Amino acid sequence: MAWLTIEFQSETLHMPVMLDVLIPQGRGGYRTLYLLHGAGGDHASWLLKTQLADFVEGKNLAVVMPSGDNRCYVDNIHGKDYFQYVAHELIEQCETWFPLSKDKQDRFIAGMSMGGYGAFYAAFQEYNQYAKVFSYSGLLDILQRYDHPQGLDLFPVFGSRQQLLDGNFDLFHQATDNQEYFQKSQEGVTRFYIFCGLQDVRIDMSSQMYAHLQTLGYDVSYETAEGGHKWDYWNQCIARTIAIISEKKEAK
Amino acid sequence: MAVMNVNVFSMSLKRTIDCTVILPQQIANDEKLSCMWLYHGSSGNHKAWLYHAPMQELSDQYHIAFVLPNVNESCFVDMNIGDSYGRYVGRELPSIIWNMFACISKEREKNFIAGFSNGGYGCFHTALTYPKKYCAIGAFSAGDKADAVFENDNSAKSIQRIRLFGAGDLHDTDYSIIHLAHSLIRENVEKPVVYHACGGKDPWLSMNHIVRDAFQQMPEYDYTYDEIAHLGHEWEFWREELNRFLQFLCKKGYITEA
Repeated sequence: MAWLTIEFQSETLHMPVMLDVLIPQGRGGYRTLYLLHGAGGDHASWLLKTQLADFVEGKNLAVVMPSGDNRCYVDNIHGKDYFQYVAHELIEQCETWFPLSKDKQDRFIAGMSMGGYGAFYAAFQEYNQYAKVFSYSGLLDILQRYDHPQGLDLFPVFGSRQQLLDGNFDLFHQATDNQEYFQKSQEGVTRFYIFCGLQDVRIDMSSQMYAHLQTLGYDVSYETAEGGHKWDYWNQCIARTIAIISEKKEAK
Repeated sequence: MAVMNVNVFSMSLKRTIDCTVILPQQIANDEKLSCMWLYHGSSGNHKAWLYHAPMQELSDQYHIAFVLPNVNESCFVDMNIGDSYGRYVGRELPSIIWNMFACISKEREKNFIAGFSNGGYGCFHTALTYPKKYCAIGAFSAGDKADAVFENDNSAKSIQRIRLFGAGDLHDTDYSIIHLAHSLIRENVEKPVVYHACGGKDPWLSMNHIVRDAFQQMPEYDYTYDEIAHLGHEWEFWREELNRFLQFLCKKGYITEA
C-alpha cells in the first residue's frame, strides 16, 4: 500500500488544496472510500488519529481524505463551494489520476461528526454516486447545532437560520425530499449506516435520523457501542466500515 | 498542477521510500501522459528538482508528468555493499508508478529519463540497463564513474566508492555506461536517443568529454552533445539544460509544447 500526500490547484475552490490518499500497490480497479474529518481537523486527521492504514493493508481499497476547513462540505452561503469540490471535482480528479473503479457499487463515503453530516449530505444530493454511506457520531441535526454552535461559526457556511432552512441544508428535510431515490426495494440503492457511541452527548441525532430513514423506506442500519465523541470510538468505526466494504466484495 | 509526495513500499529495498510526482493541471479523461523520470545529484533527494526548477510550469508547458525518485547517495545503481537502488529505480518504481497512475503512459516512446551529476550518470545507467522502458536520455554534467580516478586511500570518498562499486576497475563492468552502451549494440536492441550536456566551467568537464568522444565513435546511437561555456556544475545550468532537453524532445516529435 502506498501513501500519497497531494497538493493540487482546485478549480472549484480557487486555491491549492491538500489531501491524503492510501492506495494499494496492485493493478487497479480499486474500490474507493472518501473519508471526511470533523470540525477542527484536516486531511491528515484520520491518519494521525486512527489505525486506518493498518486496517486498509491488504484490502483492494483506496482511501481519499480531503480537507473540509470547518466548512461542513456544503456550498457555503458566504464562501466557497465545498460540496462541488468533495462530491464532484475531487472524484473526477482522483478517477483521472488513479486506476479507481468508476462504478457506483465501488464508491463509498464516510465521516465523523461534521464529516458524517458531509457524507450524508453528499449521498442525498448524489443518489447515483455512492454504494454505501457511513456517519460516525454524525452532526446529523444541523439545525440543532446551528442553534447551539459551541464556538463553531456556522454563519459563513449556512447564512441566517432562515437561509439554512431555505437552502435545504437540513438532512431530515433532504431525506424526505429525496425519498423516491432511496427506496430499499430499488436495485443498487445507496445503503446508509449510522454509527454512534453510547456516551456521545448528541446520540439523539443519530437515533432520530435512523428512525426517520426507516420510516421513509431507506436501506439503513444503526449500530451503537460503548464510546464517546472520541477518536478511539471512530477508530472502531473505521475498522468496522472497512470490514463491511470488504465482505461485500468477497461475497461477489 | 498537482504535486504529490508518494510513499511506496519497495520489494527491492525491503522498506518504504518517498518519491515526488508532478502532474499538469488539465488531464483529459483516460489520457495517457508522457512521463519524464528526473534524477537528483549526490546530495539531493526526491525534492531537489521541485525546489530548484519551475516543475509545475514545465509540467503544464509541455503537458508532461514528472517522477522524481530518491535513491539517497547510491548513484542509482545496485550497490556493491548496500541496497539495490538500481533495480528499485529502474525496474520496480516504474511498474509501481505505471500501475498507480491511470493517467501516465508506460509506452517506451512516452517515457524519458534525465538527471544531473550523479543523476546524470544514473539516468545513463538506468536507460542503458533497461532500454525497453525509456526512449530518450537527457544526461547533464554526466561522466562515466569508470573514468573517475580511484585510489584506495581509506578516505571517506574511497570508502563510499567501494560501497557503491567495489575496489576494482569498472570499465568492463555493468557500472560503466560506455560498457553498457557497447552491450546494447552487441545485443542489437533498440537504443535510447541520447542528449548529453556539460557546462564549460564544470570541474568534471574532461570526464564528460570522454563520454562524448566514446558515443561519437558509436554511430548506432542518435547522440547529441551540448555545452554552455560560461556555466559550471550548478542549478542555473541544469535548469537551462532541462529546458533544452524538453525542446529537443519536441523537435524529435516525442512531445509538444502547449
